[in-house]
Amino acid sequence: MTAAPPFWIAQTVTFLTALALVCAFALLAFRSLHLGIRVYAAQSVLLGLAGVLLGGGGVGMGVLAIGLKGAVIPWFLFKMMEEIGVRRESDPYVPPALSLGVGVALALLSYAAFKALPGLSPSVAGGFALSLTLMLLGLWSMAVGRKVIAQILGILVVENGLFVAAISTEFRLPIFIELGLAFDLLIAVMVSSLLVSRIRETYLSIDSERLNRLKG
Amino acid sequence: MALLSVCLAPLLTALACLLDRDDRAAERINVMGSAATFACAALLAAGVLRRGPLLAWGGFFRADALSAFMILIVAFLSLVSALYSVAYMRREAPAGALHWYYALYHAFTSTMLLAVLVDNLGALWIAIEATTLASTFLVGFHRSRHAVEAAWKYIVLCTVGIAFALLGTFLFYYASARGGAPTLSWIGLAGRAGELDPGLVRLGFIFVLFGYGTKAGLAPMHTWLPDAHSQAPTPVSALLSGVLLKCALYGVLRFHILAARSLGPDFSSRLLLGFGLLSLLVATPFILVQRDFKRLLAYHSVEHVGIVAVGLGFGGFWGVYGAMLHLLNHALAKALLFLGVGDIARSFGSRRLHRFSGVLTVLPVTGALFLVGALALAGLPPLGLFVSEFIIAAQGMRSGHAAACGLLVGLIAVILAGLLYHVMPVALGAPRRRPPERPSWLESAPLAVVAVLLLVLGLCIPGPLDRTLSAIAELVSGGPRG
Repeated sequence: MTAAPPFWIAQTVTFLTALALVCAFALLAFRSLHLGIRVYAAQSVLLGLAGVLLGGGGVGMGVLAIGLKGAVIPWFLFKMMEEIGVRRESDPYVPPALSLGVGVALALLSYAAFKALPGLSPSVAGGFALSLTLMLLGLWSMAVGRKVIAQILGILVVENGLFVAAISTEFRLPIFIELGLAFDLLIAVMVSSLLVSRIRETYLSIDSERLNRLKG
Repeated sequence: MALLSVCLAPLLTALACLLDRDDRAAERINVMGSAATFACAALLAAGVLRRGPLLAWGGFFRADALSAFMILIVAFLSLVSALYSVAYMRREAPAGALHWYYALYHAFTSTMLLAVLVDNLGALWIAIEATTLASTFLVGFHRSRHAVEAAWKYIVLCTVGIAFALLGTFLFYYASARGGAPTLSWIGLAGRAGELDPGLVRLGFIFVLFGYGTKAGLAPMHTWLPDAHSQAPTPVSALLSGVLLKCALYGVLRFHILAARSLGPDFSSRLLLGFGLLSLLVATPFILVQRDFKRLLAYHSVEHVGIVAVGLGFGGFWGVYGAMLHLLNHALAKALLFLGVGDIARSFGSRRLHRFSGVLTVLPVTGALFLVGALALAGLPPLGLFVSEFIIAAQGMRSGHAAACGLLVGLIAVILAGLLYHVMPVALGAPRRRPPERPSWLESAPLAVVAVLLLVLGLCIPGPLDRTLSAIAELVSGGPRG
């Protein structure tokens, strides 16, 4: 087990992760998909930096996260949006104010779930709670997002939540697991973007709202 | 060595299909590759049966009785569907796309085999996520609007769902640090299950159950399943329903063993029992009113995954024994029915139930196979599913779950009536028109083998299978046969 990090590192990490949480809420509030992709990139970089600062197992994963999720994947998403010529607004099903309210409730729920565990040190419990919050917020933004790009962003926020869980365990994950996770993420983004262009071909629209013919 | 060859054989087959780029050659590679995969799997299973758990790569790969059992089911169904694909997909696939189909098909098989062979729980998660990624384009292979929609729902719901399973895995990882160096190795965790923090294990198991449960098709997370099963090409539907769901269930089972050893059997068993009964309840009305045959079968998958979960929930040696036997029986029956229905639907050119009638008269071989599959799925003797459902129900009474057991049997009876209501006119009614084409023997022969296996399993449980099931039941329930 690693020793407790120095005070300034703990403070900076708290600050970075708080900003990442703000990013997740911002995704719920913004209507612009372009802005959404940038916010996602910013969130990934913030979390990556937090991972690097925490040291130990976080360094490799943090650097990988900054490169992959801060640059490669956003670039890929921008390219995809250009190719399919999508309108820039995401017009979600639920008004942003209500959406944010639900988001706050989900965050409180996550913190309550981990608060009740006596086996966790407070910092680790906070990490896991933040992780679950991000995952639930991602899930919620997928549920209310109308465009398929908004749903991809939701999945990516869920994945960022997992990243938080991974760095808050304080132990290094085996290297092949880290690489495997990054590889899985990359493939998932590629597969879904291929699928998006196929949806575009068959539907001439990327409203996920129209993907509702299969029922019962 | 046998261990690695099981994973490598389908992967090499997939690569060979891609490199060759010729449709006819891909068909031949497909047949040889899946036969080789099955041979490796059979050798491995025989080795495990004789010598106990096998290890490779310093314990990264580990095959115990449970893995060997899963390997054999995956490899066998993959072989049956691969043989069936040759004649079936030639008519379904656009020219020049077949080698892609076979490459994805074998890549998909290799990810499923990998999932049940790794000991590391992180690697298990990666492999199960890889099964989704490899099969997305198989689900959307037809490129129709419906197929693309189904593929989208499939990848989105399954990816998000199993993200929660990884969070649960991380909680187990963190919990393991109390007894020494943190580990993700299943056998390592099982060895120190008693020292894990109970609160973390509880929460971790709930996340894992939701996560892998989504992929396994447990209600209420099953909503991707009817779309994916009904839109995928028929051989792929058979694999999805027959083995993919079971691989996710295998993930739940590994964590169930850890949770049961850490907390005692009650906590995780009750959750499994609850989700299992809920799946049965949710599937029943959809089965009664369904008019699209492949969707009907998809809801039967929800039902039978529910029955397996109920069996695990009843627990004890015989609950697990019955659940595992049911898993095998359902895989066989579902493959038989999906592939049989695929033949009938293509011969008649429609998937609507009411368009088929008197299949037994106009297509005697396919019709008979279809009828055997339907009677097996309904749980009638003397076919395999009757035996496994009987064992599960008996264990339910024995373990004092009388109410749950009554609900289980009642729902199975309603579903039986619903299935027979749908199937009987199709099989036995007056023939309305002759189908323009007949399935070739190449499609029927593998199905006949499956039907015979179902009949055998209904009459007796062969010795090696019995020993494997007993080993699994002892592993999961922790108690000897009794």
